[in-house]
Amino acid sequence: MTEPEKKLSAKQRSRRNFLGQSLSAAGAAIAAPSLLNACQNKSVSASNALVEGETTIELKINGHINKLNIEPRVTLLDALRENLGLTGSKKGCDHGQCGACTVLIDGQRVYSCLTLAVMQEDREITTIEGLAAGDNLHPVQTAFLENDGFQCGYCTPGQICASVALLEEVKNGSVSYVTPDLTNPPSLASLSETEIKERLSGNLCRCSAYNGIVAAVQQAVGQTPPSPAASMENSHAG
Amino acid sequence: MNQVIGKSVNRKDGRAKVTGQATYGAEHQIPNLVHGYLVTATIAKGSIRNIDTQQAAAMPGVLAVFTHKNPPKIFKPSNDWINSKIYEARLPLSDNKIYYAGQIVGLVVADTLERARHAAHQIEIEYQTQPPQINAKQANYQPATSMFGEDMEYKAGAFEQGDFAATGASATATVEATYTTEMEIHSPMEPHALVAHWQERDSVTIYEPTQWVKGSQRTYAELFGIPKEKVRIVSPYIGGGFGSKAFPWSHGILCVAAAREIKRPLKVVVSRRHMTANTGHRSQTEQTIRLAANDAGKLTAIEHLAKSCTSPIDVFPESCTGITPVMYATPNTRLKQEIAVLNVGRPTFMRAPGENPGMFALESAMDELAWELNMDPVELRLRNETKEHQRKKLPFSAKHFAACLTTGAEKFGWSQRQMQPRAQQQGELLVGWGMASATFPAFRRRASAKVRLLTDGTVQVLTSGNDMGTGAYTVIAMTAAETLGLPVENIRVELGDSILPDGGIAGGSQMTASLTPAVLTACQKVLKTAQANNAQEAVAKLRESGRAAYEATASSAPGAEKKQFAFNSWGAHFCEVTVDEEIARLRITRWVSVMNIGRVLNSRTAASQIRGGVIMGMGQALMEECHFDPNTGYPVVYDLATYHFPAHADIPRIEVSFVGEPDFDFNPMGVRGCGEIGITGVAAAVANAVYHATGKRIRSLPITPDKLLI
Amino acid sequence: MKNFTYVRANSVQDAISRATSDRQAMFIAGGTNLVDRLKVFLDEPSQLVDVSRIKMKQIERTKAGGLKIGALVTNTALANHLEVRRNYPLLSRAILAGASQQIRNMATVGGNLMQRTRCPYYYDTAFSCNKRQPNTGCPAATGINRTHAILGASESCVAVNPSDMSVAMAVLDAVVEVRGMEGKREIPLIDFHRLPGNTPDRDTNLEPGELITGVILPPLPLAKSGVYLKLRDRASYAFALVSVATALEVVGEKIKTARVALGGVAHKPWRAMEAEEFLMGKAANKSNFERAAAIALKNAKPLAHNGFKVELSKRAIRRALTISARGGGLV
Ligand SMILES: Cc1cc2nc3c(=O)[nH]c(=O)nc-3n(C[C@H](O)[C@H](O)[C@H](O)COP(=O)(O)OP(=O)(O)OC[C@H]3O[C@@H](n4cnc5c(N)ncnc54)[C@H](O)[C@@H]3O)c2cc1C
Ligand code: FES
Ligand code: FES
Repeated sequence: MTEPEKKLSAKQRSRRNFLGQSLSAAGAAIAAPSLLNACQNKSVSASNALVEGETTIELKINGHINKLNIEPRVTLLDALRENLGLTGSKKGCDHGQCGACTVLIDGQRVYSCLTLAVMQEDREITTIEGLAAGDNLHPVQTAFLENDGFQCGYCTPGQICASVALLEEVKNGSVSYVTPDLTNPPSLASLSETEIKERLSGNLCRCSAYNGIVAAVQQAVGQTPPSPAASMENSHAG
Repeated sequence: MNQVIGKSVNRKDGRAKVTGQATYGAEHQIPNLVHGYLVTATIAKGSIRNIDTQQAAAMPGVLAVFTHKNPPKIFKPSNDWINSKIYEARLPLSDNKIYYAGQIVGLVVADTLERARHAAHQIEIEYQTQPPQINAKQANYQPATSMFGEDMEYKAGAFEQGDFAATGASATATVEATYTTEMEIHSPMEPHALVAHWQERDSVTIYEPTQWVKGSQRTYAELFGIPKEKVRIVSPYIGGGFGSKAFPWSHGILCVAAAREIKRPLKVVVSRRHMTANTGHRSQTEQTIRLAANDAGKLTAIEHLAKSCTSPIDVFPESCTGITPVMYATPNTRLKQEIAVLNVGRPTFMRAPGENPGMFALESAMDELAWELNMDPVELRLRNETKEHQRKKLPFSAKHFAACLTTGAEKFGWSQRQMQPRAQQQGELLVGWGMASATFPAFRRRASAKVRLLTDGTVQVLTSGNDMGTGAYTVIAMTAAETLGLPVENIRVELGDSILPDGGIAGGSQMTASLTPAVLTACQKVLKTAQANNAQEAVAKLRESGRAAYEATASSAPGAEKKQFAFNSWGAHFCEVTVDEEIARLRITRWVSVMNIGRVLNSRTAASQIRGGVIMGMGQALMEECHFDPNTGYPVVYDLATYHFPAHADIPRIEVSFVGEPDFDFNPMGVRGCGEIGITGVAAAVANAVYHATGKRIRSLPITPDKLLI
Repeated sequence: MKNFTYVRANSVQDAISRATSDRQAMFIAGGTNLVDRLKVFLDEPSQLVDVSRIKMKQIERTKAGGLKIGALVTNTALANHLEVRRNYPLLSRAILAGASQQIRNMATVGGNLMQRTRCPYYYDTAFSCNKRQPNTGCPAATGINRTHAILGASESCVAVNPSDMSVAMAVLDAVVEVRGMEGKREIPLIDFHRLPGNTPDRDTNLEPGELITGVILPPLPLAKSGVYLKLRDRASYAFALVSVATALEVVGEKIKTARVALGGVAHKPWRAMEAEEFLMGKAANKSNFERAAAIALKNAKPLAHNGFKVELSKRAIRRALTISARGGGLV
């Protein structure tokens, strides 16, 4: 079992305990849903026996080697979500049109829905589950939290992975469509809002947390973002 | 009191969301799970003559194929909004008739997603095709009637007061114009998806994003002929809904039904393509507005005629005229709402249903009137403010619309605006400033929450209500923290599970207004049980008592106040656009929104809600539109590459401010909700700014480059 | 997506021979276009030959002073290459105008040249389509065709080529280098893509089994004045309604050489040779740019919903030439 799966199951267990406790305290009995032992079992297609049409591959994800039997047609995204239980990478469109599935491969951001898992052997794959060091969030994760860079949270893992890569790209002197002089790329300190927005446009957010996301990137590059809060012109504490 | 209310607080669910640990509908890990893939109609009207599933059924890994020839057992629900509600009145696979392209005609179940998808593609269908009605301009319109409960009665079809015919002639200025909006789709980033897991033949757990957990529970119970206690809905996180995840859709019903037949946990994720056709949209609208005003700029008449379209399988009018008697005072009003049937999927609530297109038309027309009168549009609105709801004849409570206008004007620097089109330039760019009003009714219903104080000084708040990004987790925790005098970190909130007390619906901008008063009362009851003034005292007593917890459940519901007041939230948007006229490039460069929504619980999440609404409105203004092939009726806009909504690059910083005071006439928390008001008026503000920039009045959304060329 | 066998080609020769011996085989490089197509059953290969690990990732200077770009160079690497940014800025800009950073990180030069149209009728098997299946009809011609071709279309197909990179390469006189069992060929980029005629199923002149190995850019000093202007419905992450690549060499008051190509308007990147010829020897001013634009669009045949593209193209040409005359830059 991979590391992130352990985390998942711990989380599921804690939910069970919480609800279980609450309801028994309230005197109501509930049939335990099978959600509870969910993560002890792997889903069907990742079983040990090789089925016709499948091949065995190894994927290195967040530092762990995962061996799996899958058909070549399985995308990296589906391998993560359906075979490995790593559901942090999201499927928004399945066609490279939204960015929710963004992961890092050898440090570069890509859409995991547009690549086949078999194509990614011997690469270092990093997903949202692999960004924090234990309980310590990655600075970009913290910045998203503090700048309200999300609402429903569904596009968020993709936005965060994209932002993490963006910082490296800027450090490496990469240009974008809106860079006025292509021979003079921006630095982290001079990275404008226009640059950040263009560079993150491959990550759609229907909740439209765009202002907060841009502010989070500004914080992560060491700039001072505007406050995510509204200005209060009244006496709301009432 | 630790005075956390109104502050800017990190989201309670934030950590789970930034680490990828938040689990959405299709992500719950269930052993033995299998996958379903939908088969959908490729014609828009007619019937299935023959459907050949043999080849698909024989493919490796395929476990079952369901079509109208072998539909799984489903009972007809009461579908009355009270006991149960489904989006499509026609149950899936109930016969061989086709009413719209994308309609579900089958479900393939296989051991993997890839195999299910492939097999679904192998199903051969022979249709008997009839010419579809897909053109809103040629459709047959009928008067629309109200279809909602008493709460929304004001949205009903036709209304007239005063002597409309007599007014026109005496007016100083009149405007008569027709405005159109295109079909829009909700496009939440999380696709519609669910896992259905039957424990026995009469007991099921459904992991599905739903804006209305308890409604969903009752509805599925009716659909499968089992007591509601035997249905558990689990929906801790929702990846956006905007009105499209309130009730079971056909794919959900089919998934649960099929799972029962195959006796395996079943996952169905609607593909983005399928979603655009069969999980709701906002109808296109055509609205004609007539305004008349005297030389003081006072409105003497408003006429508002609105048309929208619906589906053959269900009725849903886009009630554009609801806002008209709310916004401005006038002695003479005439409203009419019509509806026609097209061969499309079912339209439904989409962020500010009715109010949003309605405000585009009304606020555009008001701008046109201001130009006619040669009056500042802010001034025109101030002069026509109404203190009472023109139809309910009730005064508005805690209304601070004028403050929205004046504060917004000041923050934006509106007084610098040059009072003629094409007057402001920046190099090659024309610069335009526009403004518009915003409004949305304040709704509220009965909701309940359980609060439990534990010996370690932590608190649990439990309710079935949910958070689709609105900030409910956070404001519920803040309400409990404030009432009990504890830090927010001590509060643990559990949402979105039907075994918890009924938290109401995350829709109609009412979750916070309905739920937080219940949390407030439950917290007060906990203190009362403990006979303590605050949580510290209560915890001390609790430890002494040897009990595990003090707990209380409380409900809160609207009452007589609805007979005394009309409740609405108010706002104003101010914006700047630039137009590069030669190459038809329009950009929104600056935005100020000032809102009056009663008490603001969290100045950060509330600001985000407003921004979210504003940006969705920008999408409607600039790019969102669905189209269907005129010959087959099949959509040609069917994914996120063909359906554009704004990306980062389209969006400027949006400055949000709140004015006003808590609305204690509305509920004990004084909150009115802010999920939808942000979108209202946005498209008009943009169109008004485009007029100021270019002198072109664009009355049909979206304002795409082709329209700027003409 | 149908299942297939997957092989990783270890050399150009290996890739070619696999594709030659199995006519149902397809190459996959970045996968950003092909995986997308496979999922909606536009292609159903028996075998995928993964060429992404072949060593064709170099950008080298040619003897002539131009650049040779390996077919597997990613769009990101090409756009950021210092020589490209300096000497062919419009190519950088065109690539950066396309798709998103994530896609450009995956997408390759070869794949970009071979990406197929985004016509919604082609892209969904619910519709008939001559490009997908010859002789089944073109519903776009009588359907919703706001994004379709205004130049060079035929009765059998009104689709447009979606590539931004190719439009820039068209004005740069790029040459595509391909290898098949028969050996190596060089195809000028402007002859690489085809007009639909009555064989819209064929996008390019690449023969079955042939692999793109690289693209050669000749030295072209005027490319420094290059401009790439892309007009679209969304500010980023959207295909072009119309795009224009231009470059000018102005000596004294007069234009010595001019380059103009359009994207989003035809089944191939549309080089406007007649307009270029017209500009030669003329003064670099607005009225000449306007006339050049009119010449470029004189054979335009708009469909029911895309008439606006004719005017938009003209204005885009005018604007891009104006900026090129100033020495280039961002529009
Ligand atoms: C949402 C979205 C938006 C996009 N927006 C834009 C845009 O605005 N502008 C733009 O230009 N592009 C855009 N693209 C397209 C993108 O640029 C292409 O998908 C990409 O360039 C293809 O490169 P690839 O290496 O991934 O090709 P693949 O997907 O690997 O292959 C594409 C085709 O090329 C063939 N092929 C690949 N390599 C070779 C070779 N060496 N020799 C012969 N045949 C080969 C394959 O067999 C396949 O048929 C967009 C794509 C998406 C999904
Ligand atoms: S799911 Fe991959 S880009 Fe949308
Ligand atoms: S936070 Fe909901 S889609 Fe971005």
